[in-house]
Amino acid sequence: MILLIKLMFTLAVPILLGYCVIALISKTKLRISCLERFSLSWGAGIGLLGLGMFTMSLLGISLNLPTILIPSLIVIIILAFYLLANRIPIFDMAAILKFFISIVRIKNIKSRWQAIAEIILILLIALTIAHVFFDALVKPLLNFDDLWRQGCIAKIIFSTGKVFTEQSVELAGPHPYLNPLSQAWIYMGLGVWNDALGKIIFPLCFASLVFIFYGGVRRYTGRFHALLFTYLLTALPLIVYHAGTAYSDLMQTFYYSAGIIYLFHWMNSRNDPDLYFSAILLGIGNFVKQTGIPLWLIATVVLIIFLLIEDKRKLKQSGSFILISTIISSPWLLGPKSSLVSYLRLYSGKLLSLVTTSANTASTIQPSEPLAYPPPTIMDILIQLSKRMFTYADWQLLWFVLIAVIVVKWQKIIVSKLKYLLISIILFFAMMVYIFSSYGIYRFLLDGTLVHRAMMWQAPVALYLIAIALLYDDRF
Amino acid sequence: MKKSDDYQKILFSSLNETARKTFILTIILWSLLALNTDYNYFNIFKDNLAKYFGKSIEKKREIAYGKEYYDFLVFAKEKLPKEPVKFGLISSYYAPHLQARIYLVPHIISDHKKKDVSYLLVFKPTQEQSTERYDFSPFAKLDNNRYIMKRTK
Repeated sequence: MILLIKLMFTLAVPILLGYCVIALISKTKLRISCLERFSLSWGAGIGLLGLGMFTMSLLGISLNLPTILIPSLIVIIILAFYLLANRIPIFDMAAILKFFISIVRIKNIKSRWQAIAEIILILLIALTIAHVFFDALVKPLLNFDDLWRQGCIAKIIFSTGKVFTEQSVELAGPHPYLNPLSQAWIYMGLGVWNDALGKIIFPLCFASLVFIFYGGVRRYTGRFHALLFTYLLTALPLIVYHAGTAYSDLMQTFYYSAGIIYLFHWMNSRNDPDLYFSAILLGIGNFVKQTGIPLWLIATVVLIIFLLIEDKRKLKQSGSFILISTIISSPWLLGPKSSLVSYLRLYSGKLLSLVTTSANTASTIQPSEPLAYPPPTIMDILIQLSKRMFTYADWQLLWFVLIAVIVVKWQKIIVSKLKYLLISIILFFAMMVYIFSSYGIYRFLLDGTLVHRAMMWQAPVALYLIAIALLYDDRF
Repeated sequence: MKKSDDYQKILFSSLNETARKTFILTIILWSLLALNTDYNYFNIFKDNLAKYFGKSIEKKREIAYGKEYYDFLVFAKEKLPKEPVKFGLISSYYAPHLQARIYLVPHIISDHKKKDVSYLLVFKPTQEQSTERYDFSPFAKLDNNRYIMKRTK
C-alpha cells in the first residue's frame, strides 16, 4: 500500500510539470477534454523530466530523489505562480464538469442501438486499457531488450546516480535515454528497484495515445465513430503487446503519433497551442529512439509543404515549430552523446572515405567477405515490406483499408488537408525503404525484428487518416 | 449527351453506394477481428493472473528467472563485494547473462576470458565447461552446480 502511495506521488511530479507547461502554452481556456489534457500533461511532463535528468547528468550532478525532486518542485511552483499571477486558468472546471456529465449522460444519440453500441465500445476500450496496465505491472522485466538494455540502464542510473557509466554507455550505444531515465525516476520515487512497477510509464503512454487519438477523431466526427476507431486502435495486437514491455517503441509511437495529430489539428484550426503541443511532443520524440530524429524531420517537411501550399506568408510558423522542438531536445541533439552528432560524424566519415577511395587506385580496395545474401533492390524491399504489412496478424486490416480508403477517397483527400497526413505516411515509408536499403539493416526486414516495430510508429496515424477520410465532410 | 451524363451520375452514385457498403462490411469484419484479439488478451490476462498476481516482486522474479537460477543470483549478490566488480558467467542455459546483467547491477558482466574480470559465476555448467581450466579458484559455493570463482592470475 505504501508502495502504491509512493508510486502516485512519483507519477504526480511529471504530470504536474506537464500540466503547468500545457496550461502556460494554452494561455486561454483549453478546448480539449480532461482526458486529452491529462495525456498531454503526462507526455510533456515525463519527457521534460527525463530531459532535465539528462541535462543534470551532463553537468555532473548526481541523480537521486532530492536532486531531481527539489528543482522539479521549484519549476512547478514558479509556473503555477506565473499562471495565477497572469490569471491563466489552471483548472478548467467547466471541462471537468462536462467530462463527468458526459460519462453519466449519453446525449445526441440517434437511436437506442447506438447508445448500446457506444457503451459496449467504451467498455471494450476501458477493459483493454485495464488489461495493458495489468499486463505491464503484474510481471517483472522479461523481454530481451528490457533486460539487456533499457531496464539495465535504468537500474544502473538508479544504483549509481549516473547516466554515463562504462556499462551504461556500452549498453546504450547511440540510443537516447528517455526510456531508462523514466524507469529510473520511478525506482527513485519508490526508493527500491521494482522492475514491475517501473513499467507503469508504458501503459500510461498507451492510455495517453488512446485518449489523444479519441480526442483527435472526436474533433471532426461523432462520438460513435470516434469510439469505433479508438477501439480498433486498442485492438492492434502489437501496440498492446509493447505497452506491457519496456521497449522504447511504444513511447516512440505515442510521441510521433500524438505530435502528428496535433500538427493536423493546427493545420485545420490554426490554433497556435496545437502547433506548440506538436513541437513539444515531436521534440521529446527525438530523445526516445534514434529514429525520433528522422520522424521529427518528416513532420517538419510536412509542415513546410503545408505552409508553401496553403500560406507562404506564415512560413515563420515552421521556424517556431523547429525552434521549440530543437530547444526541447537540445540536451540530446547537441549534447556530446547525441544521435545527431553521431549521424554527422558517420556521414562526414562516409563522405571522407568516399573521397579517399575514389582518389586511390582500384588495386588498393581489399576484397570483401562473401555476402550472406545479395544486396537488396528497391523491389526486394517493397516485396518484403508488403509481406509484413499484409500477411501478419499484427495489423489486422489496417494497411488493406488504408489503401482502399486512399483509392476510393483519393479526390477528397487530395483537395483537403488530409493530404498532409497522407504525405507524412508516404514520407515515412520512403524512410523505411531508405533505412532497409542498407545491407546491414536489411536483415532486420527479413527476420522481422525491426520492421513491425517501425510500422507501429506510423500505425496510429494511418488509422487516424482512415477514420477521418471515411467520415469526410466539407469541414476540411 | 444528357443521357450519357445521367448514366455517369447513376454509375458513380451506384459505385459510391457499393464502396460505402463495402467499407461498412470491412469495418464490421475488422471489429470481429478486434473482438477475437480481445479474447486473446483475456487469455493472456488469465495466464498472468495465475502466474504472478498477488506475489511479491522477489517471488515474481523467481517465477520469471526460474527458482534455481534466481536463488543463485541472490547468493551471488550476497557474496560479491559491495563495490562494483566485473564478472563472467558460464552456464549450459540459453542466455543466462540477461537476468544476471540486470540483477547484479552495479556489478558489470563481461567476457570471462578478459583479464579484468575478477569473478566467474558458474551455473549448471556443461561437461566441457566444468572440466575446462580457468584462471579462477573456488570462492563461494551454493552447491556443486552453482558456485562462484575468483581470479587467481
